Amino acid sequence: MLLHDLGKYRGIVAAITLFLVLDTCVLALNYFVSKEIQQETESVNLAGRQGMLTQKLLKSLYELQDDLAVNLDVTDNFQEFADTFELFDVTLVALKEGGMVPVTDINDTEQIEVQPVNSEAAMQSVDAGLQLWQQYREILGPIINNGSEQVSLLDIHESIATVKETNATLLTFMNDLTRYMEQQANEKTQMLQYVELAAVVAAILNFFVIMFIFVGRLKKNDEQLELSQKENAEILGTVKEGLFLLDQELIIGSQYSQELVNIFGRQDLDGKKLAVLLKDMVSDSELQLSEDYIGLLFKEHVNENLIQSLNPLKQIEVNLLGPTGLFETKYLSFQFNRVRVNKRVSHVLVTVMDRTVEVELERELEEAKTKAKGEVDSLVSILSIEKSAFIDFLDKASDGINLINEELKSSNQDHKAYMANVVQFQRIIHSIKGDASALDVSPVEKKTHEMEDVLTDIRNSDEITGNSFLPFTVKLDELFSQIGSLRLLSEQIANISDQHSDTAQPVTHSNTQSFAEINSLVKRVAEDENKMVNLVTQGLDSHHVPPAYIRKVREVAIQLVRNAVVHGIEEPNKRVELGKSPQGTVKASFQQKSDGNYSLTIIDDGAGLSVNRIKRHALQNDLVSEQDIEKMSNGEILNLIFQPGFSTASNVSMHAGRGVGLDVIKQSVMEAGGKMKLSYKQNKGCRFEIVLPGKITTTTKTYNETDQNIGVEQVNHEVVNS
Amino acid sequence: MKEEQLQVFIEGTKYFFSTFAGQQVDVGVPYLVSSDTKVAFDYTGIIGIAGARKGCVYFSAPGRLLAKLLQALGEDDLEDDNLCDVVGEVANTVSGNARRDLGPEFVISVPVIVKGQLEDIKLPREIRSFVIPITWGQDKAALVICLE
Repeated sequence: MLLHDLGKYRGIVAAITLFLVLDTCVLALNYFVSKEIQQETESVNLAGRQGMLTQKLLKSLYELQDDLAVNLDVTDNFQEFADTFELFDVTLVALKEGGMVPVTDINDTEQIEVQPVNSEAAMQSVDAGLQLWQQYREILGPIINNGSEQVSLLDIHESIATVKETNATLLTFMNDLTRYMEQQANEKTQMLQYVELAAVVAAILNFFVIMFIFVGRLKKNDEQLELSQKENAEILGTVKEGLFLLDQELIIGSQYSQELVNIFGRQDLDGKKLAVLLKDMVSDSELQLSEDYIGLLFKEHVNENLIQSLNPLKQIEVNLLGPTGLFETKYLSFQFNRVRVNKRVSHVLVTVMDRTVEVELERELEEAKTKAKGEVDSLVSILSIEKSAFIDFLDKASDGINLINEELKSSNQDHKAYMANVVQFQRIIHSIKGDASALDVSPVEKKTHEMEDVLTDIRNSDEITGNSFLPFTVKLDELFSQIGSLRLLSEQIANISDQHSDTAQPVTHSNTQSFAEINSLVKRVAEDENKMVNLVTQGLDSHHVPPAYIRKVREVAIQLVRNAVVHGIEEPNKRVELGKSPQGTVKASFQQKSDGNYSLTIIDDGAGLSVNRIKRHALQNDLVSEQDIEKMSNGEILNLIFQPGFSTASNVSMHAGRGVGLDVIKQSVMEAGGKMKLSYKQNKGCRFEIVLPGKITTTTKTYNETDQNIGVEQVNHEVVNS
Repeated sequence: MKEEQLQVFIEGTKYFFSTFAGQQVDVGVPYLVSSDTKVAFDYTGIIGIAGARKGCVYFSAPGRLLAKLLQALGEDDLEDDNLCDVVGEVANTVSGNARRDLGPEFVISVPVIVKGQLEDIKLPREIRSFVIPITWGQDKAALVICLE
């Protein structure tokens, strides 16, 4: 690694290197100087030995003299004298010129290397010693060369005289030499100590430099690092996107945002492959596409912007299974961006955005738009309907739906019970349909019509099982939703009108309105049936109808007026053929009679009733057997039209043909303790009179069936004035 | 909600009993309950649904029915774990059937088994659940379908 690559660590590396170099230098110096000191110590010892040798030389001369005086064998002493001479000579020459010197005596094979003395004073001593020694060489050299056998007492006498005279001087030179050399060795030792001291000081200084400058710098760096890590953590903890890095192996980096954990509901993402993260969320082929796409981002020559449209994870729906077994659906959007380091793509930054709220809002908006389109019709009708009448309708419909649902829940599992259910449901649904039709709430009208279809299918099936009701329950659920949204809609409208109207509408007005829809109903039904009808009403308002009867009178009037238009009034052509005006008339009047009872009369100038048609229809619909019908009176046959499932309209339409109608009215009248009178004349018309008791008894039973007989009085062939 | 989709879940339940338990179930009249009303017997196997429709379907049955079911399947060990397993098996069959018949736009989970009440399941308030009463022999159970 080059020094400039070290960045901020350059200083500290230089300081440590300096420390190491310094240390190495001191150690090397120490090594060499110590070696020199060791050699000099040896030289000092040698110089000291030279002093001793001068004395030994004199001593061996005296011993030789003593031996020769008494004629003893001088071989040993002569040898010692010669060895001493030789050792002194060799050592002195080595001290001057350098060379090898035996360690103990001249015969010792172990030798040490001696460097020539180099200090001025020592050299002078050596030179002076050598000069003096030259005399010794001249006198003693020949004696030694002649050997022990030739040595004479005289030679020794002469030698002793010379040696004795100069020995002290030679000893002084040698002692001086020793002292000078010791001095030199001491100086070197001292120098070494200074150098070591300096090195220690330098090392300490270096240490402080590292301590205070670089540690301070590192500490500052660490603080910065800690700060940036903290900020990094804060950013990753707060950012509302899932962020992470992918390397070329598509492995997730160690740093990722908290949101990523929230989105994927797992913590262990560090070091995992992308495939692990996306497992169970996308199909294998989508995963492969995604990996290929990210692979492209790592290719330098590919333009990032150009391939963005290829991103297969731009918006995906993922379903994460929660602990309760329910799925949580999320809409995630993945974005991939290159991360460049030194101009090369090092990673891909992945941004995961949870778009669930936006997507759901978009969907809701879309649904609301679709719903709004469907609601426009309802809205138009609601706006034209008096509020309490509409709420009444919704309440009644909800009651009906709930009752049906309760019946479904408690229904017994046998064919007869199922049939009874079907009949009951038909009656309830028909009644809701009637109200919806009267109020012109077409979606409900349509839905209940469909429900009647389903009920007819059930009734006509050979075997009814619990499962046969499934399509009906599905429709019931839809009707439930419809009524719910209508209620919501009406509440919203009420809120708006409450906010915008300063004066409350008078109550009387609203009650008059309760009957107003009959007019529009007649108009609409007549249009649908291609008939021309004029409706005349009398007393159908809140002044004449007691409040407790308003709902019932309206319900019955609606059914009967509609029946009159659908079943009674003929088509214009037919009427003209019969010599009537093309426009039929339906009269609806309400009054209190002299006996205190109330009377609702619906009169039409239509076709009247046909016993034969009723007979035929009853047989077709299996309401009676052929045998029975032969025995029946006209009155009994007429009574059949009040049976559930009877209808004489030839085709099923929105307004007729279900076989439900008069039985609903019958039910309703009976609940109020009233009676019904029916009179007709063929091709002249029909007259229904409902008599309701003057003393009103309230009942909570809206749809419940009773076993009472109907109190219908028939007046056949009575002329009806139209 | 489409009737056919409901029928798929009902068929799954019927299939399990007729194929593995050897005795068919009687399917009762379906009715509606609000989504916060849970129709739960002792053991319930829940499968989560996502995709085209969201919500859940669960089969809930009393321990007695499940014990009999275990015996019908040849298992004499009527321990709690086995009762859980068998209610899971029913849910699993329903799930498998639905996966096959409803197509890829439906995401259907493997069952989660819950013992006792179903308080933890939160469903949207505005929707209603379809309850399909199931009778097997003398015992009653329910298949509940709650989809947005």
